[in-house]
Amino acid sequence: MNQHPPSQMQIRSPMQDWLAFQSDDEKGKYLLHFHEQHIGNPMIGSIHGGVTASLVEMCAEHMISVELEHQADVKLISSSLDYLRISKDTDVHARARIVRIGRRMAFVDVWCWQDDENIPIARGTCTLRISNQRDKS
Amino acid sequence: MIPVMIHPAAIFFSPAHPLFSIFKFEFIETKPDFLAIKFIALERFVDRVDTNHLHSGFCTLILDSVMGGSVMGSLEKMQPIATINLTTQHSSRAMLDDYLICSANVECIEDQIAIVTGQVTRDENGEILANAVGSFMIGTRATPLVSTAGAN
Repeated sequence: MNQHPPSQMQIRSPMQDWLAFQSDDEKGKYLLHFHEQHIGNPMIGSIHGGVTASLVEMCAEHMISVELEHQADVKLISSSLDYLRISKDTDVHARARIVRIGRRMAFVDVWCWQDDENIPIARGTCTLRISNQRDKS
Repeated sequence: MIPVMIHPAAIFFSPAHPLFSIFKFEFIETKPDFLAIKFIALERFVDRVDTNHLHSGFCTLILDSVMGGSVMGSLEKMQPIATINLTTQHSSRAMLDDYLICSANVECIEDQIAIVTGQVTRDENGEILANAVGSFMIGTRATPLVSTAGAN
């Protein structure tokens, strides 16, 4: 039985609530439920680029935290986003993929889409610092 | 210095905007290629409730906004812009109720693309929390910003 207290990624944060962030049953798949507060350009109802970036960063952190069974501190140190097309006022899906996870660093790619996974709205790459790894036993 | 009231970003960051209305941005310096804004770290962006650290996405969100605002201020006429890409280095996390300053500088505009750098610092001691560089497309298919101004 795991004797460790839950990590921060296991406790829902105000930021996760604000983003309406949700992890899917499928590992590495996430969802941002659209809210009006996510809009960047009200004239066309597009989602703010910083909201998409926040989703990408959160997905990467969550993915690594889950991979480490929540037994380490995971901190994002950099993100790089390419905005591939204009978004619209609907939910955003994301899929995170671990490129490499080491003892101290991890690298994660995240792709975001709305209607069709084959028509992505953004892609991101994130670099994360891993520290204070605890015994999983 | 461009008077704050006519800075295009002041229109875009209006209290009527569904996102920017929550930030209560205070313009502290405006030049044609430079914009600096003061704001407070809000509770809704807290990531760690045990330490009151904010999520990195908060700084990314502000950087994208202010860097875009600096591009608006550098244009002779108001045009829609869109972020093409944004790379952010996070060196430290903001804390709840911190007063922060986000500054952005338009480095160059070439072929309708603006290259912009930005920084978020803690107002109290000047500590750098995040640095960013991004590119923005000037003139998109989005509705012109003058329509936004008229709607407000």
